[in-house]
Amino acid sequence: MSSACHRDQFPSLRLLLLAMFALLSWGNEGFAQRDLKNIPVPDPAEELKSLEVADGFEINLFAADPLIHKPIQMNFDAQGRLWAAASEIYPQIEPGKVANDKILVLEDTNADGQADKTTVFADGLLIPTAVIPGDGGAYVANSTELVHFKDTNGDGKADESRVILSGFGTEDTHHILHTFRWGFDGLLYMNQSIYIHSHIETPFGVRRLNAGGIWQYRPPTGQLEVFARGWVNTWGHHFDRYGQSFATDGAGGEGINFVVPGASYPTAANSPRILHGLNPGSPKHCGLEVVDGRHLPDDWQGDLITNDFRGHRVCRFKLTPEGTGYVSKPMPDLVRTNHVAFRPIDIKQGPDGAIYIADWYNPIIQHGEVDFRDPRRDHTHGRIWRVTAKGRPLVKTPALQSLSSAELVALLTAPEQFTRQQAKLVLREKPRSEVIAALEKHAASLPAEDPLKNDWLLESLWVRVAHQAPDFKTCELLMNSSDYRLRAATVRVLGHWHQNLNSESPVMVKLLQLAKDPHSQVRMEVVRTLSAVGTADAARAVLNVAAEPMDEFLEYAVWLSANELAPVWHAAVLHGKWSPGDQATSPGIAKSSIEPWLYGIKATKAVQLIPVLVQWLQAGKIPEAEIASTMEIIGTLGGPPQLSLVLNAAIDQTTQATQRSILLEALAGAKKSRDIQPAGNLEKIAPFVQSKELREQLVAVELAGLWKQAQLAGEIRQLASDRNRDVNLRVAAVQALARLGGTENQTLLEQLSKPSEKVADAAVVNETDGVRLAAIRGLMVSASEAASQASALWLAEGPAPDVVSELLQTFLREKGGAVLLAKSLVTVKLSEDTAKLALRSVTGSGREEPQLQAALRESGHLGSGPKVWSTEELESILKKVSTEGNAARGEQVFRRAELACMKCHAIGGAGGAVGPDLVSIGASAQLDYLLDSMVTPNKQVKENYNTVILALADGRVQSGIVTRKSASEIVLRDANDVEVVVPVKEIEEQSAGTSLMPAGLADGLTQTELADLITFLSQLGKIGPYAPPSGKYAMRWEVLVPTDPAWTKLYRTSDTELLRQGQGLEWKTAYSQVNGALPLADLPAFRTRDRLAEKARQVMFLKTTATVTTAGEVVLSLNDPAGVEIWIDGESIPQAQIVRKSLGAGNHVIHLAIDLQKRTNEVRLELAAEKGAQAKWQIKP
Amino acid sequence: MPNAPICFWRTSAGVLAFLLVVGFLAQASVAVAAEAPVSSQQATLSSTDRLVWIGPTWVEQDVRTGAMEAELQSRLGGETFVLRNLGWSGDTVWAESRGIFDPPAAGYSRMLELAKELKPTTIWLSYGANESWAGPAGLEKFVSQYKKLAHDLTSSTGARIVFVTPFAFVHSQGQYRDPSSQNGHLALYVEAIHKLAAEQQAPVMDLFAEVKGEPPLESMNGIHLEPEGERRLARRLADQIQFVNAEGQALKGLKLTKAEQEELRKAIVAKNTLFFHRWRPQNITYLTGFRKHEQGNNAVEIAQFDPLVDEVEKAIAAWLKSHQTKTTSPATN
Repeated sequence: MSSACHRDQFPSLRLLLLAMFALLSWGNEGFAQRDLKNIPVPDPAEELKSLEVADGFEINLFAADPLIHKPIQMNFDAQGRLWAAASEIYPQIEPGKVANDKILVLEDTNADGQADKTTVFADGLLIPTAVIPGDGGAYVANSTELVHFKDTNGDGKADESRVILSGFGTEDTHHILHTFRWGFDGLLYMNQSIYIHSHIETPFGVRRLNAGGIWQYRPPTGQLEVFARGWVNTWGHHFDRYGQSFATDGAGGEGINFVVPGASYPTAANSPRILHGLNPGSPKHCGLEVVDGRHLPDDWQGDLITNDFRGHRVCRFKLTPEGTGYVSKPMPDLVRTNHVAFRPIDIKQGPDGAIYIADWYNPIIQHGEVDFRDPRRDHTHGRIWRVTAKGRPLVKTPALQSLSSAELVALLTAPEQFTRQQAKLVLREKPRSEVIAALEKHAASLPAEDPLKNDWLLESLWVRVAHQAPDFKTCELLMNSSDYRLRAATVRVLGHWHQNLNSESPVMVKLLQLAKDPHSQVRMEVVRTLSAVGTADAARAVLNVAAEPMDEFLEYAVWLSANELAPVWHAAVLHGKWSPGDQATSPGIAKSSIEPWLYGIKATKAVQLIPVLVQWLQAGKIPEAEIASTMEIIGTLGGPPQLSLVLNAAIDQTTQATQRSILLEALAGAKKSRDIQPAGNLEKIAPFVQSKELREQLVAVELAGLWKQAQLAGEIRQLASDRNRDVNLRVAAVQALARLGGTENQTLLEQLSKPSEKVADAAVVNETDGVRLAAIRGLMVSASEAASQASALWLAEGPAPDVVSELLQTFLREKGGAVLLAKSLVTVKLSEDTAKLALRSVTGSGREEPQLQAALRESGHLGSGPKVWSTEELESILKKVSTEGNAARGEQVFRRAELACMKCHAIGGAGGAVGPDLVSIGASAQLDYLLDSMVTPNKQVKENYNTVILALADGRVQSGIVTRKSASEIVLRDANDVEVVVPVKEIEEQSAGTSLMPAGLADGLTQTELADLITFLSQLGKIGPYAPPSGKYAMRWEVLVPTDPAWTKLYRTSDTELLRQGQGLEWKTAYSQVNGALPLADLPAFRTRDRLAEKARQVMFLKTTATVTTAGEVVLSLNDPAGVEIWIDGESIPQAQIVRKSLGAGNHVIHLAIDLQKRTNEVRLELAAEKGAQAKWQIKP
Repeated sequence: MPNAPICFWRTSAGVLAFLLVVGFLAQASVAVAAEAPVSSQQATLSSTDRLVWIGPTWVEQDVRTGAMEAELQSRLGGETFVLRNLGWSGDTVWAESRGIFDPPAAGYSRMLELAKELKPTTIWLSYGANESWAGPAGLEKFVSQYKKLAHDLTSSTGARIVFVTPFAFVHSQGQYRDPSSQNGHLALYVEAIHKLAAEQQAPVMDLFAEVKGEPPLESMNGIHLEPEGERRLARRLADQIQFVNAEGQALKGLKLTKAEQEELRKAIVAKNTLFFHRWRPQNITYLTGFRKHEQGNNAVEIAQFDPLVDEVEKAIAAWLKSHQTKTTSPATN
């Protein structure tokens, strides 16, 4: 576009600016003289000494400064030269400084494994974050633009530049366009991160991507599409041998992501549903390479390698196919070190089969948390490391760039992906006719018995995708292959060529038939390709897939395609062209049963199809077995006339109680979420208010309130006041009364909002607390002052922590609520603890409420606000960290209940998800940053953890961290780790909030305790006892709370029965330490209070869940079997240190009973596969 | 001196030499001949104008090529006007590219605010191409929003509005998809822009209409131009403008050598680049956005680009002044 073929534009501009810079003085000297801490000597030899490499491998320095500085991305060309994008300006250009970042080309001319030549291919760039050679030059990400540079005179330096695409956002310079990859299909894949908003004009129209994602670009035609959406920083993307895509996220914690084309992943904007990565709780990764070839050992073939740049590690994962997707298993690290400046950020396999690692070399990463101008930022160094397998010969790659098409096509099944891929890229740039002729000739020469023949044919299809030269004969052949990977890949190829097919073509018929392929990955590809085909029959085949069982990835693909195709198939249904049981016009599509329709209507929330569904229902086209689910859909989506049908069905005497409850709940949902109620007489609900079935009665009472059935108020008041009734029913009754309003109801609410029973044990939520809370909330609607006074009085009683939090939230949720409560607090005195808990709730809302905060401090005698730490105090703490900090003691501080760290922060997925996972925080953050975050949490907030405050149309205020967003709703995670869905149409105003981390958390800690805590955090992710553990341990536990009902059950039944029934029990979450061990000391236990000696027990019950994805034999091992009894899925297992058990796919609950008279030491439970067994599982943190 | 690169003026010796030459030239310069009065429906540019140019990619691209601005600046007989380019890739009359973390409406308001700060005397609006992908169905909405935009800008800045139509899509070389089949739709939008301009009694510069005897504009991908196409578009644009001095008298264009034009263009690119850092700085998330509590302290740097822009702008003005003798007849080149 901007077509800047201006040979020397950059040098001239530079001269001008350089000259200007010389005239202006910039006072940065003071900056540079600041005292630096923990900055290693930038000597590559020193760094090399610190690198630990996996057994069987060795590492050498391929290049270092001055040959290369600050490499960000690198890619090899067919000649084996290594291209790197390098930026000294990052993170932000300074006024008066010259944008002169570079593209460097490194060569190892004498093949000794060390670069000996660097050429500056292009300069004058502004933070180039990606480079990939191609089309006679190189594509470069230059902030807002994708630029193609060319060297036309062969001197190795670009003399022509052309802006290919422009309009990429630059809201954050480590998010800008990055991670270039030539696809297996000859298309250019490019990624952008979460904060980026891009608006790109193409000859196909304007393309926009307002979030993270992966772009797919076809250089010859200018077609640009979004390949996948989401992630925070998708800094890694590669394909396996059969074209399946994988991605890593430099700020997400889900490890390897299997990419379904077109799908959305965490953080995707406007996506109601998302897919997740394969390694929840994993550290964050940068770069990704699927490795293979003769230089690497056999058990490395097809493995994925990536970098944990925070933890200074190069990691490896092994994938095994499972259903549509894969299981990803972390393997031992390839490289690791405690050298703070080792920042592996890109990784590629080179022409010799060795692994090349770009080391950005910097003690400081990121630029949100650390000042742009922090003098500790390194702007000049950088390294490329090279890892080779000991004793294995290097690969000799031919000079691909000088080979003929005929020679190149013969390399398409070479053992190394480097050769296969680069051969394809060279072919991509050769004349189409020559390439096609070479492919045809080679295909004809391949013997039928060649085991790689079909692999070669697939590669040939990919060459043809790049040349836009369809070959349907080969497609058909491969779609009949016995190897599902070939079928799946071929189906994706058809996505590029379907325009050349009509519904009668054998390939199209085959494609539709493959919607019933036995392998679900093939079905997934079919479903996605059919979305591109875009016909009504394609949609029908997609929906038919939903008639059979689907796994997570396949179901997502069907949901996505059903939605993309919605306009087509909705129209067909509306125009009577489709109905259950009829036959599609295209051959290849199976007759539809009703399930797919129901799935499709639900998946697309097709309100306009509900009348059709009702017609089918009335015409008897819906089989008996599906009537209930049909009704439920109608209840969820229908308008008033259709809801009447549901109501009639619900009250029909022949309807079963459970079914009735489901239908009535759907009606309640329709009123609450859509404000729609059945047309006609609603009094029909009356009899069910006295139902004997609790579930039914609950929803009937709720409906009486929602539908304003004032004639039922008397009955409901009775229910609300009756202490013998179920507490949930009473709460529902109170809520209904609040909805109904009126003096009588309000009087009752006021009574119920007062203490009616003595609060026996303030530490436990009283059974009737729920009723009292509901009454206060009810009063908020009609008499907010009464509610506020009742709350102040209750707070003065010193209620249980949960009650404090609930009360505060009641007021924080309403506009003006905080001020109202503040006024009532003037009249009461609070205990210090209650005031602290209440203040924590205010912080947890992410808002500033100065009046309420002051009132709480005043009435709780807390003094004025969080402690302000002096520079001297902070320095003294940092000094203590280096001299006497103790990580083990620090971990105990971290685990203290009153600090509630684990309520919000996980370590390796074990813990809350409100704040960032701290699994490798120590490896990425400087000590002063850690301390700062602790004492002034608002100073720096990790990306994606900022709160938003939403003011809603009904006067409520909701705040939290946005976890998902779609056109119709925003999902927030609040400070209690609870997800809240807010419909977009209800949002009146949106503003930015503060950190959810409470200020003043550290106030109660001594300097030594703080130093220990910082020491602990600073060790997380570093080599040593606080690195992510290599085994799979149970990290998240539930501990049985000794409530009265639990004690009763413990006396009356056996332990087995107690755990098997499980109802009415209360469990408290606990987390293992970083090393996988769970200390028992402070956990709830049943310590006898009985006088009878024979009943005296001291026992603790623990529960954890393992999710098995592939059935097989697993091994459970305990650190110490003494005093432990084990149940798996309720079945008692003989006591042993090691338990072997065959487990089927699904969730398995493991219970432990610990006899505290026999042991008090920690419990560590590890799960491993029996040697040679197929079993795969994860323990969800 | 006129042949010296502009950047050399930044050295003190250069400045001195420059002052001498300018002094000499000022004495030697002749009064510019008066021409016929300017029609109210024709776009004018005068040496007192501050022009804000708003539009999508093809406007934004002039930030980095400077081709159009160089052509315009060279038509003022050695005088200069001030141009602030607010083009944004992929943008539409709804400011769809300008919302960033907010909805487009917020970006729209920010654009109005910024335009006001820049104190323009005239504003060029260049929308229509991206909107035309919506076809006839989108036409009405486009017109009413374009009208609103023009109105909002006039009422907040008091500047004259000039409509600049998009140029036609062309069938480019290579394998790029041919977007010229969209020209039928684009023509509808151009026609609507003419109508709107007439209604508003605002000048319109038509870049869409075919120029007899001329081949289509050289384009890379059918929607964005090659350097030669850009140069021709610049001339097509400038030819529709009456260039005048502060007194309203028509000015003759400078007759610059290719090397001089190139020098001017590069200086303009330097100025534009600095202004780009000023109004669209990178990392705004941290500087002024929702994470400003982290790096907001560094936002002071944004305004530090202002004096840098002024410096280059002054250098450009002086350079143009020094080339004043090299005038040619008005509105030709």
